[in-house]
Amino acid sequence: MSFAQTARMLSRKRAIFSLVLILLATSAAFSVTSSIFLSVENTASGMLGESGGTIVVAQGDSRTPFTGTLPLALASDLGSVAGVQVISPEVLAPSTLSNQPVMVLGVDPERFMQIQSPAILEGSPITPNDTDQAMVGETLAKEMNLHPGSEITLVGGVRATIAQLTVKAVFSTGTPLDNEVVAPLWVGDWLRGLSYGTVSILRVEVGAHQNPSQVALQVQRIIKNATGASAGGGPSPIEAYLPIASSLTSLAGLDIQASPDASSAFFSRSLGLSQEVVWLVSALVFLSMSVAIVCVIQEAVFRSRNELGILRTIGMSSRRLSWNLVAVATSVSFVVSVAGLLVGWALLTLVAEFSPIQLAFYTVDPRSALLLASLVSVSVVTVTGFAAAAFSSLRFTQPLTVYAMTLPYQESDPGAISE
Amino acid sequence: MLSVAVKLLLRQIDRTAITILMLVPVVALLISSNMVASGYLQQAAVPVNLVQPSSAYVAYQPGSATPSSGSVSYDAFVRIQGSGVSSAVPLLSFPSIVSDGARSANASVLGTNTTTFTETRNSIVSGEVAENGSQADAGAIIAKVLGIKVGDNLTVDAFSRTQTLTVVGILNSTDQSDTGLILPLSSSWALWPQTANKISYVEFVATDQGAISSISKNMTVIREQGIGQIALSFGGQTASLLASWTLILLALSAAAAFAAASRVATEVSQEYKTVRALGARLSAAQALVFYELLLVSGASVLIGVSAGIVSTSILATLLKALDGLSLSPSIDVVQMVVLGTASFLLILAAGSFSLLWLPWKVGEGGDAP
Repeated sequence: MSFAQTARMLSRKRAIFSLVLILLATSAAFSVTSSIFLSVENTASGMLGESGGTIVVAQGDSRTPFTGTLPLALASDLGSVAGVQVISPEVLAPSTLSNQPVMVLGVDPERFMQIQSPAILEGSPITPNDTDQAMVGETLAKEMNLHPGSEITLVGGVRATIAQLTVKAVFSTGTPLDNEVVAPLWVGDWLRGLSYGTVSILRVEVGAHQNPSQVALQVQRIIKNATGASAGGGPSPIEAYLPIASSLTSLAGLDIQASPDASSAFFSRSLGLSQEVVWLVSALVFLSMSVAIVCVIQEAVFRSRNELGILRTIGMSSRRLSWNLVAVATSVSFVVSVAGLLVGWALLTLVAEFSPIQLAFYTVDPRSALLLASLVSVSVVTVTGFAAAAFSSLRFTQPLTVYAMTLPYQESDPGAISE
Repeated sequence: MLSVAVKLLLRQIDRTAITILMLVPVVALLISSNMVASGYLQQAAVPVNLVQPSSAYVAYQPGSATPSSGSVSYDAFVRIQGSGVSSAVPLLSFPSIVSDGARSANASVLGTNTTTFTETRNSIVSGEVAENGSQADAGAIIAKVLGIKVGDNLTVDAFSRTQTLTVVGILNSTDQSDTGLILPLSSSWALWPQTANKISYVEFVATDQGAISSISKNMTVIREQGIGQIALSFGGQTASLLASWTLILLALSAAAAFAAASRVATEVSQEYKTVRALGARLSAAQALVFYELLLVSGASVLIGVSAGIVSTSILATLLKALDGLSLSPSIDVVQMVVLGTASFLLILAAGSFSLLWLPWKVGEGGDAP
């Protein structure tokens, strides 16, 4: 009895269709759940613009990266750290635009263009003397139909003030920045309610051959000994346009941290949004669905019990029968889990098109982590199909016993039947 | 019949236990997600209720892209001032090219009541506040960009008309006015007659909702602080994500419940066949199986709800201890009862559906229903 014949036997009783449906639902649900949560986690961990070669300097004891403050003059001190290429001072100002939450990023235009290198899709980039102009990210521009020349009114989230700006460019970075309004540093200060010369974070680009974690440690060391006086990096170009009365004289009392994964650590700390939690949630979904998988495999076996029983009676070993069943269930699980991914992809596309997922100020593409989620989903569903089939095949391990019968008309000859 | 069902279940205690154990995680997961969702939504609601946005508003011409690009009569300001607001400031804003002879820049001219303006914005004034004809104050940023100092003369080109103004003070308000020139409204009207008796928008402070509604009838009114909208929006996002998540779980639970209930019906088919062989009617045999389903579902839901509450509480404590994650699951008795009943009915319905097929499963039916 071959693998194909066992498969035919199970499918003849239609029980395999229930198995296929449950596996399809499990695979789709697992991939959708993990992809959505991983995409959210990916967006959250890139909110401050971290990437492979970028570290973020932020106030360590602030509740969120958005509410921390740093002296702009700190940028001058960090310029002397070996491996530091560009320092971009940035102010994060939660605001609203047409009643919709939007993050306004106040930047030094020159430094921002150096560190981010955004693709300008329309218009031209802002320059340091563009007092009332801004650039908008591609996603936000598409959502609110903004183009160069559009006039926008930003309402401060933290401070009661408005900023009326003209869109100068639409840019694309392929990061959460595409949901933001990028304006000169002072616009961030107005909307965030900070005095000039104060920023939210410093984004630091490290050299190509430098280890970001090592540079972060050096930055920490420098901060501890910093005085605020320029030590080689020179002032940020935008300082020439800022009405800053006096430079910083001491960093004493400030808790400042540098890290390659500042926003990821923040979201993990405050929202519990870490990859571990994502997999835990997905595992819980999967645990409940594995119950269904075991049930439907047992159901399939039960429905084919007569045929399987005959096979045992005519001499097939319980081990062979079990392995055939396990092989069929595992193959079906693998094929159906791949098909489930297509269902999951279709569901995620519907979600992205008709009910986009919003995380704070950012739109999350739920398909952005589908590849990783798919790999895990196919592996887990296939392994569970295997395990469930192995569990169900335990019933074949019982010894086949044929009892001696005493026939009423031949009591003296009980026969010689034994196993 | 019920007692027979109990006896049958107890006789096959190992099989009954496995079936219940299969249903328990499904119910426990539903309860657990409900507790986490309720806790999260309660936590999200707290900051929304605590938010007290400022009572400062801007009123401008309906349909204009921004307040500055609008144009209304000065009478609009007079009406707003007399409508019960705490304070109001008229502002006329128009673009210009400002030059100090050597350098020039695009900057807005802001005509207003300069004294009230500097008071309401807590402006830091270096020099004096402009009060007459050819005087102006320069915003701190435009002053830095062009290197303007108190006493400098500037040429201001707007509406194809160039005027010379003397800077009497530098204002640092840490807002958008820092990028422009501020001068008395009457001076703006006199120097650029195209703007006579016009203003762009009115800033006012009001706590009386009646006054705000009244102003909103003729003008577009926006609040100057968006924290309330941000908090509401975030709460909505969380609720939406959790609602979608709960829907996915419900769908999965339904599928799992159907599979598990179907298995129960299949497993008890032996009893079904026995009682049918003993001469019981079809309805009596089905009733026996239904009672077994009823008991199994009831036990599964009771254990599942308890397991969900206990495991979520333990998980929350562990996550807090290990990861510092503040997860506060909330137990809402009414929701627990509703969810428990819904799970019970779901399993029962799925089992009953499977029960309809039982005669065909055991090979005594004709055509399937």
